Amino acid sequence: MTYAIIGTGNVGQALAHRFARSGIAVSLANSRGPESISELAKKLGPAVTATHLQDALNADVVIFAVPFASHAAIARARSNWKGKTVIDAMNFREPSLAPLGGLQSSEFVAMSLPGAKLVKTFNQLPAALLASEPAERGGRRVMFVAGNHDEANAEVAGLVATLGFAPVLLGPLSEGGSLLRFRGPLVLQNLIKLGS
Amino acid sequence: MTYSIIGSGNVGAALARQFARSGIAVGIANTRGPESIAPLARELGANVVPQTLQDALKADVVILAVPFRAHTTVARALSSWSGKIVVDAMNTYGVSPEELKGQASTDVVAAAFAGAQVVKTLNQLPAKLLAQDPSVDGGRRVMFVSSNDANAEALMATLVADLGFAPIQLGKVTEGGRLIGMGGALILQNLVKQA
Repeated sequence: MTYAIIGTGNVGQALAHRFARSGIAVSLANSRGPESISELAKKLGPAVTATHLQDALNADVVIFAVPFASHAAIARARSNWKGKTVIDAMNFREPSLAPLGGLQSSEFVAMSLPGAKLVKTFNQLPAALLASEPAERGGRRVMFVAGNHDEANAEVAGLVATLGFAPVLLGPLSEGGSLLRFRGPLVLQNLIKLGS
Repeated sequence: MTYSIIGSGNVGAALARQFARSGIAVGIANTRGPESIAPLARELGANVVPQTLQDALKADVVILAVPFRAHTTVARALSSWSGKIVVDAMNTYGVSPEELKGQASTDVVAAAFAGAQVVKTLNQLPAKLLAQDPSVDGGRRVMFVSSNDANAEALMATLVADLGFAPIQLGKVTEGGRLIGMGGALILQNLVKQA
């Protein structure tokens, strides 16, 4: 399984940091080209490789960590998304979903990626907390995962666990996934899952 | 606001313990009468008052901590539930989806307690964990709260917070409420919200 993070803002960097700490190889790309990332990649070590956007989009799992408005341009940068898993780590920072036709933002993103299996996660913590060690106080920080494809949900939950978090699967985007909407009940919650 | 717990099994006793710890007065009743609860009340102190079922149902907030099928008996014990908040702290162990006619169990409860605002919470932790001090290492144990009535949901979130938990409001049953139904994603999760 190959992974790529698109976006080198706070969220993209935080995720790259977690991949690096977990020793999982990941490509990192943005719209400005790999030179703009080389210093960051060097700092993070051998697991993180600065890549051209086109090359990064060849990964099996592509993580969108860009401002919401930029997702369409990335979607267009590849003609065929069939068979790929796309992780939506973005937030649509508007109180109303009316501009999206009432869809949850991840459902809206999925429409621009025909053939891809979209999973929403990594969107729900402030970047500084996302970057910090998820093992804390005898437990692990919770990361909620939602999506319409059970197999992709399970695969991404596996990645989330490998990165050190406690994944909690919420089911389809329009149901449990809606709790991960902007200002939704399960965003910005710093929860530690303990053994019961 | 007056409170009562119906049921003195593992969940009812765990809840009584939380009320006692937090210094909030609560009535507690079961079908066998107040004498059967006297030892528990003695242990927990003056805030936990054994009552007859009829007296307990006079409370503003009635917490159902009985086996699921027993809720209909409780519902019939009062002629009008209008204006009351009923907290569904039950789980549907051993109850088939057919018996619930495919509905969320809390919707079945709401139908039985017509006129009441039904809030689902306090149902999602094993009784042992429910009874423990919700303050854990600088954080507070999470308790999810869901209701089709936003006002009752907010009031019960406040009660849950007064009992020491970190409430998270999930909204309507069709939104987040199903996640704390039987087999839901947020059931049996020992989560501690960090300050």
